[in-house]
Amino acid sequence: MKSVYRVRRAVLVLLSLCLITPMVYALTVEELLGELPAKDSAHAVQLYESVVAGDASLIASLCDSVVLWKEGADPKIPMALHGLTNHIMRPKNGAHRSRIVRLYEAALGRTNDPENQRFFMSLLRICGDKDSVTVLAPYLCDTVVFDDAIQTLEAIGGEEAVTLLENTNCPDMPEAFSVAVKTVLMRMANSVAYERNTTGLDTLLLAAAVTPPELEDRKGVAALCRKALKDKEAEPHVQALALRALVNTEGVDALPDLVQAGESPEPVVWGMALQLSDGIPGAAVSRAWIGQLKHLPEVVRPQLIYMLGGRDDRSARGAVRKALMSKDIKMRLAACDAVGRYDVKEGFMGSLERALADAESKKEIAAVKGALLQFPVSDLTKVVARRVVQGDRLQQIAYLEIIASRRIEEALKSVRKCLKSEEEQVRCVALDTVAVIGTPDDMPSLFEHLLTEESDQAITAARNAIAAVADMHALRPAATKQIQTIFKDTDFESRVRLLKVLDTLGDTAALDEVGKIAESAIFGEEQDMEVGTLALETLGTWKQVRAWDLLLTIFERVETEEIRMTVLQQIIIAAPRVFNNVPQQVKFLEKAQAVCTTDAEKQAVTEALEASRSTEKK
Amino acid sequence: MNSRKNPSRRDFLRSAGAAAAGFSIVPRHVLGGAMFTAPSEEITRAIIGIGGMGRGHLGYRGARTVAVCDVDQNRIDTVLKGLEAGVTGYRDFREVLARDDIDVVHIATPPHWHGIISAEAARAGKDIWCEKPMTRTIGEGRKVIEAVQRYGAMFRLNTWFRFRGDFYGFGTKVKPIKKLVDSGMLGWPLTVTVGPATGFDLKFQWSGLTDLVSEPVPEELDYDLWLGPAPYKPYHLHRTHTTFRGYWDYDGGGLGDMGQHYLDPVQYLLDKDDTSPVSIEVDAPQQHPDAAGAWRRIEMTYADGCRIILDAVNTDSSKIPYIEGPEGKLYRGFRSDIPDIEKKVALLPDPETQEPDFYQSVRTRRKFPLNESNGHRSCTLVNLGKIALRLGRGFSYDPVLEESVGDEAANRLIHQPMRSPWCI
Repeated sequence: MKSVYRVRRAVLVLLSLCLITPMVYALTVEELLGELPAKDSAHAVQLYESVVAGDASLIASLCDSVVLWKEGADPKIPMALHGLTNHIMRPKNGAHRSRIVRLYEAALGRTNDPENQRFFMSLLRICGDKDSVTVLAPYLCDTVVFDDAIQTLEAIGGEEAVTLLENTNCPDMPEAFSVAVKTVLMRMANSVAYERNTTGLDTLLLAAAVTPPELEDRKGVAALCRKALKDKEAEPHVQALALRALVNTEGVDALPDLVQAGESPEPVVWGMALQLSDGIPGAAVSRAWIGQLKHLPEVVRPQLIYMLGGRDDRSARGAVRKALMSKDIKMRLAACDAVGRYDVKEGFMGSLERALADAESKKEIAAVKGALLQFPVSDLTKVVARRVVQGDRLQQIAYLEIIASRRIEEALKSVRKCLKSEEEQVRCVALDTVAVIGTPDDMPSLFEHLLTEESDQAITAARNAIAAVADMHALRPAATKQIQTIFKDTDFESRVRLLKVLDTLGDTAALDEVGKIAESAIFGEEQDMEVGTLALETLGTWKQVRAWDLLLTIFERVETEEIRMTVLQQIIIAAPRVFNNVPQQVKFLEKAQAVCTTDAEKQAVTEALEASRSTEKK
Repeated sequence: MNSRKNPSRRDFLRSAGAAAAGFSIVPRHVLGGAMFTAPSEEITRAIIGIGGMGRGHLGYRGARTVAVCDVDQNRIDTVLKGLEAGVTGYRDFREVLARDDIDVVHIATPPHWHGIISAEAARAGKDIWCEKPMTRTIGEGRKVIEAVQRYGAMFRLNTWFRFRGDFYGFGTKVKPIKKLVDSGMLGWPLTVTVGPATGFDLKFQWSGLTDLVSEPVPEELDYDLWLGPAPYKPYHLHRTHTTFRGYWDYDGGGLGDMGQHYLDPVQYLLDKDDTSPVSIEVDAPQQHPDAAGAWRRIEMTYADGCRIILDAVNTDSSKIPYIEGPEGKLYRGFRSDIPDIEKKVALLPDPETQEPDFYQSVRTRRKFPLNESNGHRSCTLVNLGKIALRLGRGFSYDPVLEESVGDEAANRLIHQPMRSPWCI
């Protein structure tokens, strides 16, 4: 029974192998090159399986066909060999590796062309094994390709490669050979960092600068570090390295040295001291530094405050809070940044409020504002609603910007108070804020501001706020109607402003209203070409076909030559804005041309058509 | 390089107090009024690599350029003509690093030099402003971190979308996206898609040529120094200057050039500054060993299931969300299937403020928001993609060891040899 079972199982395995193993057959060089580049990974597997399954002569033939950097060279040949190399180096695919590597080594031996030698060495850098080491040995003393051979040995690695490099002597070789070998041996031993000793420091100390250290004589190394730190001849960055090595060696026991290094006049040294301290947890670290705050150079103190940010002990938090109220602006700025390092900012809100109230400059206000914006909106709401109506102009603006940025609708009542501020800048930012959180109840106030503000900035803010609130609360039709109502009985300046609001609203109803204003101004009982021109200009900037059609309709109706030219100018200006391709521009300009009545009008349209067509040619 | 004994400007200041008897420091207001920066406070810089990118660095405000460096003498000559007196030109960056009076080096060379120059600059006591991608290989990136942190240098990577600016074709800044992601409204894990559909051009025009023929090296170019650590290949104009981007030895096509701009904000959004993906998949035609080419898709997956997809194929921005989670999606232009998304995001707390001025970091010694650590991680995203393309397949990655476990071919691309005498 058992033997029957075994036979049956063997048959099943054989059958499944036949089914799942791709059918491979030997390719010719031409067939292989004709398939390149392989379309994707699966195609590459199929191709190169065929190659490895085939005769070695295919691979040898490819190798012997390599021609590089010359006219007529076939780039697919190096591509084929490279693809084959990648294939044999696929994980768990190493069955063919040794055979192919030997073929490459043989090809290397057959060529005298240095570029080809380099190429085969580059393949061996990918797939060479320890047996390749002896093959590369003769090339170490080759004046042209020795460095490529050395690089290949480095890539292969291992004891054999190191031994060969250590023991090879090429007396006739340039100095470059010994430099190359030395460099590679250092790299292979991962010892570059401290064996290329340009620092003047003891090699034990340099070793300690590498983390994690494996030191026997920690005391001795620590003493070396401390000696280096006291050496006035040492470069600052070298002292910084010694400090790092000391911390690697002694850990938190190096704390006194770190704090002392904080007194160094060298930025690199005190910077390293703070950086290393930042990485050591515990309240003792905070306390040790805070205790020395007064003795630190002025330039270091703010950076200490920043370093304390994010440290969750009471001392650190207290120091940051205190720094927010410091007389030194640099301390206050650093404290704002330090607050940002805390995930939980509880306990800082009050200090930040006071900091903003006492802030002396735009930069400081921006820093405090930046810190406040990192608080949850629930923490901010009460504070901003209260504070936005207090303080000077810059502080009010800061709170308004916070409210707008975080869309704190609960503060709307306070924002409305700011709309009444005597400070124009405050009103502008309040209008911007209403644009974000305003309600339908704000519309009358916004229109009032639109019509009464004096500066362009304030008028623009009011206009944008009207459009934004209308958009938010589906009030566009109501806003358009409001404009219609006001427009009739107001002065020219106000009409200008109202037309711009319609332009900003930008929908079809607003557009139609502008059209009506234009027609009323041009064709009404009391013609008003000032308003009419304005309305036409507004239509001219409107990026909708309907606007252009309105202009054309007006053009067709107008009889007065001067007014016709005014309308026509807007038609011509509008064409490239409304129609984004030349054929359409031409089509519509030709429509306008068809209703031109004077030579001057026709000439104007002709010139516009020529300009459009010449744009297309470019 | 021996320890320098010549006193630095700061040595002078330290000893100024002791020498005060016959000397006084001229007050700032006497020298030049309110806007004048005293020499001791002024930051000096050198720009290494003064092609297109490097010339852009000349315009960065806040420091005084005292040296420029390039391996192409014509570039040095051209740039010096347009600069005021007092700027010295060099061909070898080592001479720049040997100067005591340079505080910051800006590295705008092709990427194959970024790692070495960054590490050497740190060892020379300089702060570093490095162009993206941070390094050409993951192994080099690790070495840069070691050098920068050992010597206390300040490092910044030259991309900025995680802390300012409109985010390419996406049409918004990164901050509201960060707030949205941090709020959990989209759920977790998240998938982020980068490609034409979400507003990002993958720049396949930066593909290399496969039929280069050896050319004579122009006289003005030190080609040996141009190559530096890269493998020796005969000179061709297309390998150098702007089009070097098309070659694996120096960069990595459009992915190498722009990848870190696009992917660093993604890493920030997903809060992955201290880790890397664990698996990488690729859909691409076989790549040439020398010249980078186009590809279709790269997918990287983190241990928690978050994914980054680089999708070169799909272009319909209405169908492909930029970020997708189990609870919601965000499309280009900040459109979402979550109602009132903008209002909801506005209610959320801002993330921590990030200092956008590197020269402030130089003064305060605070880590810059995009520094050697998180810069290395976002550069790793680019380099993992490049490895997958060059291997023609996916692979797995250990973000702690920063190696591929059991994949020798991938590891040989993570750590690559350098041409002598260069090392990092």
